[in-house]
Amino acid sequence: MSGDALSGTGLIAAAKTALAALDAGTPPASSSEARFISLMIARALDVAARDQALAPAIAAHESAIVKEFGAGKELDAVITAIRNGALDANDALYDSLHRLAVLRLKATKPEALAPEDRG
Amino acid sequence: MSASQEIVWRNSLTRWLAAEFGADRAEIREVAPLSGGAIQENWKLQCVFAGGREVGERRYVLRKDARSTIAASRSRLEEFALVRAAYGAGVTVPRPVAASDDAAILGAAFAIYEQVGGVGLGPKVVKDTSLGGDRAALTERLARELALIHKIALPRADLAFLGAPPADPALAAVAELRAYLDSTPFRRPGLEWGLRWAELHAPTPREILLTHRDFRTGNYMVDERGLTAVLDWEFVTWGDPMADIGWFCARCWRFGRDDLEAGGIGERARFYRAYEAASGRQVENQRVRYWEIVAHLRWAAIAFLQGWRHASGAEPSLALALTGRIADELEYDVLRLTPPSQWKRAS
Repeated sequence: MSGDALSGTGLIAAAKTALAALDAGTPPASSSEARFISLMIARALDVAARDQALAPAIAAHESAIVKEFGAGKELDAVITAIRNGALDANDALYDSLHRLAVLRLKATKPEALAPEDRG
Repeated sequence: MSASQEIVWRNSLTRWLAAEFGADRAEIREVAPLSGGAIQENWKLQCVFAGGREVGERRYVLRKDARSTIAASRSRLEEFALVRAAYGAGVTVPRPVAASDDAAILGAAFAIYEQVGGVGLGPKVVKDTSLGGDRAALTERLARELALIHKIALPRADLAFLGAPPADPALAAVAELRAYLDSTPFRRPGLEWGLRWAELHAPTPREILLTHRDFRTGNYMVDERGLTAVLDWEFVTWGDPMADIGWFCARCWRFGRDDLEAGGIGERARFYRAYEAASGRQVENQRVRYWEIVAHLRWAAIAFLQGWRHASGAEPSLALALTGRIADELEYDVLRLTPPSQWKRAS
């Protein structure tokens, strides 16, 4: 597995495994635990559906950040520049990072967005 | 755990308990898994001893390492020593009973504590006001508990495993969190932005004391009367006491009650006042606010470590995968808290 295992596809796979475990005769310790597992599976599927819809926009936005602030190399170059202080208080970078974070949160938990970011 | 494994587990533990407590006879009447504890397995034990230092019927909780863990977490034996230190300082913790790192007994190190009643789940504690007794009193009680933890100061030979205190707790935290992120494949420039802000705005080091580093709603238990135990001692280190207050007050640990800035259960000012009265130390609000931002960064890095336990294949788990995704909300919050206007300008 890899970092992609937290993405929509990975979440669907993990949800399927959780469902299979429920079905394989390893019952949860209590009804409240069963409810917890069911809610978790439902949540994972919701996030995965939104992930799949937003993935192209997130990828495009991340690529734009790499192009503008990482000399077109990779995200690590942006991170190195941030750590080195080359992008301290950079308004353009901040705006891009904020927009990317909004897109990610729209997939993960849209209700946590501030009203001005929900559009 | 299979039935045959449980029999082996039970027999092995029974023998060890009898020897450890000097009992003529020991019996484990019930073993049951407990939910909660993302980094450990927790088991409920009901035991009976004839003779020895734990004579009679006893109810314990056994904490054992999970299949995979995270580097940030202390070992079960270290955690046991920390709870013992806290117990000695008068902090309301489960009585530490015994511990062993002999893997021949249960396959991994473990520690046993007296079972404490109550509810710990953060969202439930925040929402269900029939729990915790009077909320103003609970807020003050928690502040006093934290003040007791902060009375534990260097030198402490029994806590030598904590190592030397950091020269600068804030910069040490930034370095630690960068290392956490680097240990996973997740790359988040938004969090890196926040860490750079934390590096540039690190407060001048002052008093360094024992810090719990996970003192928050969700990590203490309450019953209908009030506090029953402060839990989760696996992240303790020497540090800035204001960091613990920042962690407790951080928005990410209020479970939806943003209006109750002290852990989603009380007023910040009330918590500060009670802490100051019990500790004799002034709460530095600006320093606490700094640590609240670091709290979001730290929780995000830990969420990724948890997500990586799943994603790496070490411990496939939907719960761990979803924990990894919590970092998205934290990254968004960090960015909102650190816009360019909030940065020191180079002179």
